[in-house]
Amino acid sequence: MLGDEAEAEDVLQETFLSAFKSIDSFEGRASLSTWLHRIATNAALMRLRKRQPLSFSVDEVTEPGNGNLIPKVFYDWCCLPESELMTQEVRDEMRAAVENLPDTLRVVFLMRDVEGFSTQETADILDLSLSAVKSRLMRARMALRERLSAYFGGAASADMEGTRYE
Amino acid sequence: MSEKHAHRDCSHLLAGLSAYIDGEAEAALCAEIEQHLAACENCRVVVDTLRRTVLLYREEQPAPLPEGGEAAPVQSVRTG
Ligand SMILES: [Zn+2]
Repeated sequence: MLGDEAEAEDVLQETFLSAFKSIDSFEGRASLSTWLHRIATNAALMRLRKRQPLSFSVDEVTEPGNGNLIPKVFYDWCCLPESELMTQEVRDEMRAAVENLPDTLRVVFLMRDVEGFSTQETADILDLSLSAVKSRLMRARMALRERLSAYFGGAASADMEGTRYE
Repeated sequence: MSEKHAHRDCSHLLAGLSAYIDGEAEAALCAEIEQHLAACENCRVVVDTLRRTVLLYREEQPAPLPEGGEAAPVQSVRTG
């Protein structure tokens, strides 16, 4: 029994190691992507080692309300030119936004949206139900959107003030 | 916006927006969301910026995963 579990763990570990082998080739680029991949790897490996629920494993069904989902910032930054979206400052903000997510949401977001695992794969690896993966992904994305919207909204109003006073 | 609609729909639909931008929402929910978006500017902004948020992080992805990892459907995050 124990052997089976250890074996299963080895298989998973192997999957991860091959999936993340690509990271090395990007070491030269001290970029956000490198960082994102690295923390995704760490999170996943740590999870594999422990095989225990993430810090709070309350299933989403029992989680209270959608309080943290309600958007507060409606600044429409989606059509800003690439040149304004892909600055170092924006990358720093994106990074801070990910860092700020609760562990439970961060690991799901990284696996789904950064590493590109399917909902099913993410559920299998993290021992979560499909609905829990979907729900956490949604919460993570909404939290990131909120933070980036506040950032771009703030930048926009700062620009306007700049123009006004110049 | 002139069309009268219930703003409680906003919070009711929020939970479905993430699946919606992935193209994974069920047909009925999809239709409900689209109908709501036609009348609700705020939700439209949320959908557009939510989609853009996901794309921003995905654009940071340097290369496709090696064999074995089934990539999430990047294309299905519609840009329109
Ligand atoms: Zn709405």
